[in-house]
Amino acid sequence: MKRKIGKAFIYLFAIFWTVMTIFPLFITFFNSVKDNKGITLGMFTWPEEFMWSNYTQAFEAAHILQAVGNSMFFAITSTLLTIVIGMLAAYILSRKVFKGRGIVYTMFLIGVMVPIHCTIIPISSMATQVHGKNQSWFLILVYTAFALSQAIFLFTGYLNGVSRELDEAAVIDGCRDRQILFRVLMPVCMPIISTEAILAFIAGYGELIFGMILMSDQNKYTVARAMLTFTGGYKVSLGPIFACIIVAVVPMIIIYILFHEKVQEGMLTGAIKG
Amino acid sequence: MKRKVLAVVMAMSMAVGVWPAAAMQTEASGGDDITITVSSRYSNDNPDENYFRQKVEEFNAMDNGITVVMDNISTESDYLDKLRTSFANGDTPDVFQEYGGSRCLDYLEADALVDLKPYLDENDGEWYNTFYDSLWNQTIYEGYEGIYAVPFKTYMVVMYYNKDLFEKAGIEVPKTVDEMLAACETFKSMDILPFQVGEKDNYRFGHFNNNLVIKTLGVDAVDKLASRELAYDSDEMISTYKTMAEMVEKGYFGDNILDTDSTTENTIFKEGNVAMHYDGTWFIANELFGTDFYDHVGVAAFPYGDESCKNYAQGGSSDMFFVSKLNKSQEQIDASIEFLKFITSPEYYQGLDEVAQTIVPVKFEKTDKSPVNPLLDEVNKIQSEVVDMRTDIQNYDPESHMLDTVRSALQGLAMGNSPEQCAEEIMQRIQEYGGQ
Amino acid sequence: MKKRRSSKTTIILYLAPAVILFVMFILYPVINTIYLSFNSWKGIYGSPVNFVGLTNYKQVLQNNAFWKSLLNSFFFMVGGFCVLMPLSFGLALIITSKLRGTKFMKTAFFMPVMLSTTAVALMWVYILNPSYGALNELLRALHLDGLAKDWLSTPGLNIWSVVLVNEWMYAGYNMLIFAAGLVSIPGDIYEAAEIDGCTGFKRLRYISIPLSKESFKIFSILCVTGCLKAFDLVWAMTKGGPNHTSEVPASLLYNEAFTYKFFGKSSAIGVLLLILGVTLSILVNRLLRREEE
Repeated sequence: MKRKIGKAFIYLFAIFWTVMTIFPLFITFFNSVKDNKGITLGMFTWPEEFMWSNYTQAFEAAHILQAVGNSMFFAITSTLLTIVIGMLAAYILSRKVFKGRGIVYTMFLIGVMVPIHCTIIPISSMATQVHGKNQSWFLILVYTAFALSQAIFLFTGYLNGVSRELDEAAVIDGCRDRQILFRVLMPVCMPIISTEAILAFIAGYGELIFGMILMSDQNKYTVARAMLTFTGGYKVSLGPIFACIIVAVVPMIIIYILFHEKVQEGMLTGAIKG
Repeated sequence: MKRKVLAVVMAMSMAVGVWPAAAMQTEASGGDDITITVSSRYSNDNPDENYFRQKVEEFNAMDNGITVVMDNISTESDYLDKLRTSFANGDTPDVFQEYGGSRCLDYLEADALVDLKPYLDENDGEWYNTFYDSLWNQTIYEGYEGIYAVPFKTYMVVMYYNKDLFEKAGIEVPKTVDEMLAACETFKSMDILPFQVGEKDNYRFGHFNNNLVIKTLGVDAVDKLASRELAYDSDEMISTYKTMAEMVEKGYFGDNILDTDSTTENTIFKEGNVAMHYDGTWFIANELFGTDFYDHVGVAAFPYGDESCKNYAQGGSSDMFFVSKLNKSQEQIDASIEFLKFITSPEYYQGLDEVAQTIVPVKFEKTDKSPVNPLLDEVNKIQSEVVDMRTDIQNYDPESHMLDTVRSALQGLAMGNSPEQCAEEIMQRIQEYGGQ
Repeated sequence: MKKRRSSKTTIILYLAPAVILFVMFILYPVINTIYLSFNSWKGIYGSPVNFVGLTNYKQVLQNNAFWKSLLNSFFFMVGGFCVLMPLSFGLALIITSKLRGTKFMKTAFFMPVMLSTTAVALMWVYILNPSYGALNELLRALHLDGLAKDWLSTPGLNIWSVVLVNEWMYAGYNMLIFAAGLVSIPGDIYEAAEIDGCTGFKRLRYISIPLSKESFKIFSILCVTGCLKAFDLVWAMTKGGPNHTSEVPASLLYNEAFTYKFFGKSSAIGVLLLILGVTLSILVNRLLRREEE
């Protein structure tokens, strides 16, 4: 009996929070077919008339589809880089004993705390010097660097929890570092890798400041940059902004669902925790 | 299966991502043109900014060996992020839009701006004379020879009012501050909102205070405030805060003004439930023209507090273009000038008048394609009586934090701070930043 | 047998990409910030950088606004540990449980982060509007008029409103971090526990929580550092206003540099935040380690 009440309570809370977090999606959609008046005077009401022209504006004035493509490209490439580079570093930090390990680890930690506005001038100046302005590769490296700290931090923490017996067995089998990392540990770390992949992807996909400062060429606008088309000094058009958000969120949801499957798969393979 | 889906998604995004990059490279490698970059905030999808971009394309299509690359970022903070960063790194745009005053003084001190006077004066001031004379005061700086910007957009803050509601109340449109307060009281007693100010965007009270100062203490007061001859905690200034504090207290500015932003303010006024709305002249083109509400709106000068200041106004050039000389060659500077001449030509404004009418810095002949716009005619009439204008008071201040400082302090009035607290806060911040 | 690479070479080789990126994009800007914090600079290429010693630090530390903003980010931390941590851990338990519909739920829970700060902030500004906002209308409908407040404009209250919106938004984000830890707890531990009669709350107390200690550690450090540099949501919801009441250190840092062009002073704030961040992280690490022992 007690258990049933407990379970009912958990369900209730789960449903409550689902409603709390899913409603913005509907509100965003409703607002994407309203004009300023409809939004500011009745954000939470059913649209009086569906203004699909907001979407036309999003496609034609902000070139949102191209921006989504660009952002996808930047975010996916930087996510892949983050994971590979992050795993390499985390493996060393977790498995090897060497002088200065603590310092290197703390140093990486600084990456999660540096305020972004301290970095934009030096990085932009570097971009000018290495001809990285308007270049995709430079922006991808920036995204990677900023996601890397958190990745290393998460991966190292996770690897520390994975039993060393696993590597020892592999060493006995004659595996070298590369094989231990990619064949033995990587699969075990799938939950955290997929998790970080989601976080890194979201960060890169929605990023504004670097995408805006480093890219001036309209063909390389990111999603957040393209959305600025509708906020102006003397007038803001809210409807098309919401339309852009709806268009941009779809690929994100797909990626999220795909990757989170991988997290659950980790549960099935039953990783060994020490 | 899932892996396949992922692979397809990735391949698609890469294709979309790489494609334009490849296309751009071939484009950039042709021709020996001079390329100049122009930064502005005109990226909005509205008639006036679409016109700007269209004209730039037109300029590019001309056979003059100049290619203009636009970099338009509409939100102010993002625009400033990029502009400030480019100045810090020395790779500034050739031409950029700014608002003049103290915000650009540092650039001038660092010798980063081109003096445009020689170019304006060429051929007996051919270019210079296309502009209205009254606008130059914002492009010059004390202690520096020369002219450092050309006006591109002008504005004046005026009082829009709802004709129906004034008729209903049976009162005249206020000419003085006292009449305005009396009108507020009348509307309040009729359960009509006198104003609904969107002070979440703190420039709203900033503009109100500008007008009180300019039209009660006069344009001299603006200059004296900048030189600290007139203190922000002087009795004169406190009296302006006091007027506003009382209006807050009596609810004249509307309900929940701190939670209303300017977009909502505009919408509410256009809903027809608010009697008055002070705003820039851009309000006509951006919000009124072409709507059903247009005929219900009248426009008048902002009320004056002192008879002697009746013909002053808050206004001037809002947007100006500057030319950078940081790491720029003479050829690039010449190209920048040519571009500026093009977009400040009477022909430019003639075309603009056909699509988005407002007051402009350049004299031009209207064509018959220009629409009929009685509100704008009225604004022109008001403007013709104005003898002197100042834009945001703190734009003339030597310290760059002042605009924000004063606006924040005025926002405090909406929270119920007393006029004295408001004054004290400004003075305290001046002192804090004093050593720099 | 092929010759094995020495351990030293492996260490260098594996760390190199991360270290290079880090030095370029994080360390170099940090050093630049430290350098500028002892100087005064207007932020214009070629304009003089004047050494001013500790003046910037003195000005920042003597400034009331800075301490107020720190207090606000302290509130962010309080909210982070008292609300965000239990909430996101609870959500992680839910989505990794055998309940029905978890697939849909976990997408929903993560929705606020995906919808971007712009949309989320704007929506909450309207929900929290005192006159026609949804929250106050709900309270009035429940005859709780006394509780209907001016959520974003009342000093002292407004920062808490932003903090709670922040927790609402990022609960899904941190849920993922906890979930990654939870799914790696082997199923047989639970099975064994069940046989011993360890279910429900007991299971949570003796298995899930202790075995997630690494996740809690990660969360704590990300939370502390994230709170110190909180900016986006505050900027989008209140811009630090009204009248500076919801200012956070990162918004001060932003204004000093990009609005007023005092790059030295802004850098000093940045350095102070870094020092604080490193100190607090080490402190959190120590605290949690002690608990382990």
